[in-house]
Amino acid sequence: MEELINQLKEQIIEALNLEDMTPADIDADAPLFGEGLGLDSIDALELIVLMEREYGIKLGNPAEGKKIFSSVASIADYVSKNRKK
Amino acid sequence: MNGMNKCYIISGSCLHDGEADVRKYVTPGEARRMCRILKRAVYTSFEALRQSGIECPDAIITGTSMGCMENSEKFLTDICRNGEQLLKPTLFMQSTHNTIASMTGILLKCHGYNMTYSQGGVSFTSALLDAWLQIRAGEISNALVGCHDELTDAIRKIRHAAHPEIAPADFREASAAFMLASEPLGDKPIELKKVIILHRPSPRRLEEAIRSLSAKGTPLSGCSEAEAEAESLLCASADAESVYSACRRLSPLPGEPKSALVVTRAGESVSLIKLTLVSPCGC
Repeated sequence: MEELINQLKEQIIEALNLEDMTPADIDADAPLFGEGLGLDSIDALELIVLMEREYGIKLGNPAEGKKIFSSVASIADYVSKNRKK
Repeated sequence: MNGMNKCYIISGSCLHDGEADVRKYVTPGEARRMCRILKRAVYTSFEALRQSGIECPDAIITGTSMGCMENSEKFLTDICRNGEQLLKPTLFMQSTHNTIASMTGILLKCHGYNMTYSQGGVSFTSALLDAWLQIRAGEISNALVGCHDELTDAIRKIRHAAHPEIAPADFREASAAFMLASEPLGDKPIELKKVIILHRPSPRRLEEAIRSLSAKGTPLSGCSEAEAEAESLLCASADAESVYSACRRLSPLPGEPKSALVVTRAGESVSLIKLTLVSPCGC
């Protein structure tokens, strides 16, 4: 799981152009939206594309997405259970 | 034209190839999604605004020949490679021509007139003409007018194929932004006397237009026609860059030029822009 969390952090940094950030700067349990990284709705769309492109996961239910994207750890948990590739 | 306002260029900023450090004006969070052209546009726009002392313009009017070309290429490449699936929303948003003007408007919280002109090599002159007309008619008091274009490797190769005498690396890209106002504000206001765009002018028509604008011994800036054409080939924002250079050359010092006629040619169109330095007495 630790390896997947680090991989996700790197993919998020690249996909969202989080310049000057390293995986070590991201707290896996901190909120991604609002507080924490302070991501916005466009970032949410980028994360949905990332999940499908990298792990073959299609997110159709917005309510589900809110829970999954609450932190890097929650994304890693969902990916580990639902990944298609 | 009696009773119309005058229109002055009161500040300007220009940047050439490369990336601008926009952190002087926006937060890292605001800058992180910006591509190269957006960073240059934001930097030059904010710099022109800062110099003018105006916080928020009445209008944002932008000229861009090709828009955010780099992002457009990436977006189209993704469409081809991914079978029209999994497209990045940021690239989609930033592949439209009016992204530049809208981004500037959002950052400035400017809810005024926001317009983008894409007219090839006379995009900037078209934007300038719009601002000039609106300020003279009293519709607006000031306007942020810019021109922003970027060249990708693919565009450089295409241009080189059309003009093998120019190396791909020699083609320039530039951003320029100006604050225009109805009052001669600032240290060195320059009156924008006339803006003309001629499409496919006959040699006689062009000669007449140049003569009418330089009747009082105005020196030509930028050029012979051949030089104007060569310049427009080399630089993606030649008309804006030429206006910026001409404004810098005008000086109240004795013996220095007090007015200029900027002529740029782009394809079948010719821009004529007449500039006159306002004397210290304001006349």
